[in-house]
Amino acid sequence: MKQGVIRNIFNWVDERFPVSEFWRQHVSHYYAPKNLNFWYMFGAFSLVVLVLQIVTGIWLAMVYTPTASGAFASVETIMRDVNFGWLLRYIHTTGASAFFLVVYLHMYRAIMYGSYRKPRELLWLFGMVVYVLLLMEAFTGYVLPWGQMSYWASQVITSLFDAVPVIGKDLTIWLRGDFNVSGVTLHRCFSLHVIAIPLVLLAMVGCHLIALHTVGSNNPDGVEIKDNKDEKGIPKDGVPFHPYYTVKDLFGILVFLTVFFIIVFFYPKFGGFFLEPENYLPANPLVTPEHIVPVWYMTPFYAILRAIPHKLGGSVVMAAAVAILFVLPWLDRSPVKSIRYKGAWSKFFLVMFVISFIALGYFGIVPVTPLRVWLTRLFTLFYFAFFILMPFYTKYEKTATPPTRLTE
Amino acid sequence: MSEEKIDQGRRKFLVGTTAAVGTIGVVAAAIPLASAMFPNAQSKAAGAPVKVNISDLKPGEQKTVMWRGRPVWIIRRTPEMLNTLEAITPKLRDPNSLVDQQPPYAKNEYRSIKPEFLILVGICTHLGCSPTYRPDKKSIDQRWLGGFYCACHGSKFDLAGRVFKGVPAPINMEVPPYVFLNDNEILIGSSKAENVA
Amino acid sequence: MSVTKQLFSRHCEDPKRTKQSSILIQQFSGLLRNKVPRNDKQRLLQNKVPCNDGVIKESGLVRVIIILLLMSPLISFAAIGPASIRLERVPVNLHDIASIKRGAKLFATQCMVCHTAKYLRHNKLAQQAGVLYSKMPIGERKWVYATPPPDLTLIASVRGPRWLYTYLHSFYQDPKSPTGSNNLLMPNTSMPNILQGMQGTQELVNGLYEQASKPLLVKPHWYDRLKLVKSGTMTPEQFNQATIDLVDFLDYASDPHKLQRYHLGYWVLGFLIILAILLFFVYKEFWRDVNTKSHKDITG
Repeated sequence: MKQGVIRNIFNWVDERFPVSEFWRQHVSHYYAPKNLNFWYMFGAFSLVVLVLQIVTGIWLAMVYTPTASGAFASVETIMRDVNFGWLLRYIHTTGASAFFLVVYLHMYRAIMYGSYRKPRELLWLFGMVVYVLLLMEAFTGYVLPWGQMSYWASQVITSLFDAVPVIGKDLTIWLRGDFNVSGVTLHRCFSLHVIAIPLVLLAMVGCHLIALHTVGSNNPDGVEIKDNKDEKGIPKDGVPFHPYYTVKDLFGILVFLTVFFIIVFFYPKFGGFFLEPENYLPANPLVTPEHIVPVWYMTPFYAILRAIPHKLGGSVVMAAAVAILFVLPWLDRSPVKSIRYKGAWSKFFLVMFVISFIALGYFGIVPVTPLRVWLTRLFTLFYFAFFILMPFYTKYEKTATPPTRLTE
Repeated sequence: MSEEKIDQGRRKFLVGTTAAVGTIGVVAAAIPLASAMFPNAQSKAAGAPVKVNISDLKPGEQKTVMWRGRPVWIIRRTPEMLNTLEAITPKLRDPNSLVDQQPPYAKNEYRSIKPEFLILVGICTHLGCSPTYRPDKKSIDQRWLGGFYCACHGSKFDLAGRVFKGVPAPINMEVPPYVFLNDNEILIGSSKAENVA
Repeated sequence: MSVTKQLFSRHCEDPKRTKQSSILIQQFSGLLRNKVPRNDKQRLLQNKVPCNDGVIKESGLVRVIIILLLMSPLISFAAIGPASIRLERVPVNLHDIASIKRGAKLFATQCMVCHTAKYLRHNKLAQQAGVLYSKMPIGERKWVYATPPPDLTLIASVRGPRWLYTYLHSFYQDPKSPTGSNNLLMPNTSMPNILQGMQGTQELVNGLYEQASKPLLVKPHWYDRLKLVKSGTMTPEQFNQATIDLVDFLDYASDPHKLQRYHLGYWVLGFLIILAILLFFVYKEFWRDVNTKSHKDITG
C-alpha cells in the first residue's frame, strides 16, 4: 500500500532525525496562552516577510549587476526585460517597508504587554539584535539601485563616522573602501546585503525563536500561564499551538498578504514613500539632491540626528535612541507586566512615546525649518523621557491587580 | 455525540477545501519564479535572427556567423561535393536524419533547403568543440571524401553534417532554422521571414 | 480575544458596551455557526475586570495608528522641490494606445534630437509607432554644452506626469537667457523651447497676476503668467492634446508593465481574498473548541 511505503520512509528518517519529537515538542504539544490577540500575529508576519525577501532577493540577484556602471541599468533590465521582473522587484521594495512596519508593531506589542520582562529579557535582546541587523540590511539594500538617493544617503551616513575622535576619517575610508563613496562601496554593500547580514540575521532569528520556546509566550494580561498547570503539567490557560495558532496565524497571514499585494500591484511607490522619485535618477556625484532623506522607517532616528547641532553629539544621541531599547527590561520596575494593569503614568508615557516616534518620523521626512527643529527636539525629549523616567513612574504609580487566570 | 460527528465531517471538508485552494496558490506563486528564469527580453533580442549576405560566397567556401553565442556555417557546396553524399552513406550512423537535429525542410538527402547551400551549427555533437571544414579529398585519411573533422576527439561528419559510424559523436550536426529572404540573403534563426530590422 | 472583540470592545467591565459588542459578535458569528453557545455573554462578563479611571484602550490607539497610516500616502513626493506655479491635472490614459504611439512619434522627432531613452528597448510598440530601429534605443551621446540633457526613460517617475505637462506648456521668451527661452517651472533651464513651433511664442505677463490680491498659498496657473503672442502650427487645444500624447508615452516608457500589473493584481487579490475567507472559516471552526470544550479535550 502506498500509505505503508510513506509510513516506512517516515519512520526510517524519524529514527535518525528528530522529526516527530520536534513536532511534538514545538508544535502539537507546545502550549501558548489562549488569549493571544491580533498584536501577536506580527511575529508570524515578520517570518513571512523574511521568506518573501529572501526568495525575491535570490531571484533579483540572478540579474542584478553590483557595479557602478551596471547597477542602475540592471535594475531597469529586471523591471522591463525579465519575465515578472517588475513583480519580483516591487515585492522586494514593498517587503522592505512591510518588514519594518511589521517589526515596529511587533516591538510595540512587546512594549505594551511587557514581553521583555523576566524571564524574557534575552528574548528581547535577541530581538533587538535582529532589529539592528535589519536596519543595516535595509541600508545596504537601498544603496544597490545606485540612484541619486542611494548614492547620497550612503555618502551622508558613512560621513557620520568622520565625527569619531582620532580614528574618524580613517574609519570612514575603511568603511567605504575608497576615499569617497564609489563602486567599491556599492560592491561591498552587495556582499553584505546578500550574504553576510542575511546569514547572521537568520541565525539571530533562530536564537530568538529558541529563546521564545524556552520560556513560552507572554500574553495581553501579562500573567504567566506556566504558574497554573493541570495534573499533567499542561498550563490550564494554554492551548496547543497546532491546530489553534497555526490556523489563526494562517488566517492572519492571508489578510496581511492581501493588504501587502494590494500595495505591490496597485501602489508600489506608495506616494513616493517606498520608491522615492529621486532614486529614479542615476547616481551623480556632481549633483546633490535638494532633500536627502532615508526611507520612512529610519526617519525618526534621522530627525533626532538633525535636531542636535553637533556632529558627533547628533550621532551619539541617534545611536542612543536605538541603544536605550536594549536596556528596557531593566528600566521597567512595575509590579505588573501588561499595560492593562499598569497605572496612568505608564499609559500616558506610552502614548507620548508612540506619538513622539511618529512625529519624529514625520519631521525626518519634511525639510528642516527652525520651528520644526525645535519641535523635533521637544519630541526627542519625550522619546527619551519614556525610558529615562520609567524606573520612577513604573515603581511609584498605582497599578491594578492582574488576574491569576487569563481573561479573554 | 452526534455533534462530534458533524464536527469532524465539516472540519475535514473545510480543511480539505482550504488545502486544495492553498495548493493552487502555491503553484501559482511558483509560476513567476520559474518564468523569470527563462531568457529575458534582452537575451531574446540579442538572440534574434541574423541576416547573412551570401552573394560573395564562392563555391566550396565556408562563411561563419554568430547566432545565440554559437558559430553557424554557411557552405556553398559544389556539384562534386553533392555527389559524394550518396557514396558516403554506408559509413554514416544516421544517413536519413531520423534523429531530430534539423527543421522539417532540412530533412532530406542534402539536409538543406537549396542543395547548394549547407547551413550548420558549427558544434560537434560529442562534447561541443568546433570541427574544422575539410573539403579536400584524402585530407584526413585515404577514404576521406570531404566533410568536417573534429580535432578534439576525432569525430567525423560528411558534407551534409551527418555523423560517421565509429566516432565518439552520437548524432548528426544541427541544422538551425533558416529561410532565404532572397537569392542573396539568408535569415538564420527563424523559419519565417519576419520583421527584420 | 478575536479581532472584532479587540477593536470594538473594552477589556474591562462595562455592561453597556459589553452588551452592544457581544450582540454584534453574536449576530455575526451566529451566521457562521450551527449553534450559538448560550453562555457566551455570561462568560464575557465574568472574565471582565473592573475598569481603571483614565483607561487608555489598546483598541483606541490601534484605531489612531491605523488612521494615521492610511493617511500617509497623502504626504506624497509628487515633485522634487516646490513648484512656483500650479501643476496642471493631466488625463493620463495608458489604455489609449493611439495616444502613446503619437507620443512616441513626437518623442522621436522632437526630443531625441538631444535626449536619450536608453532603457526603452525597441519593442512591438515602437515598431507599430513607426519609430526606426536605428533611433531606439539610443546609446550615450557626447554633449558639448555644460549640462547634458538627461535620459528621459524614467522622467515620468522622477517628476510625475503633471509636472511634465506643465513644464512643456511653461516656456516663454527671455532675451536674457542663452537659449532665448526660459521656463516657469524650471527657471534658467538649459533646455531650449523645442516645441515653440507647435505651441507658438509665449511671453511673461508682468504684473497681471501680482496685481490681483490673492492669498500667497494659491499658486498661479502657467496660463495666468504667460500669454501667447504668436501662434504656432497648432491651436492651443491641439497642442494640449500633443502634450498629453507625449506625457502618455513618457508615462508608458517609465513603467511599461503598469496595465499588466493591474490586470494580474485583480486576479491575485481575488484569489487571496477567497483563500482568506476559507481560512477564516477554518479558524472559527477550530476555535469553537476553545470556547466550548474542556481543557482536557483540547490538550488531549
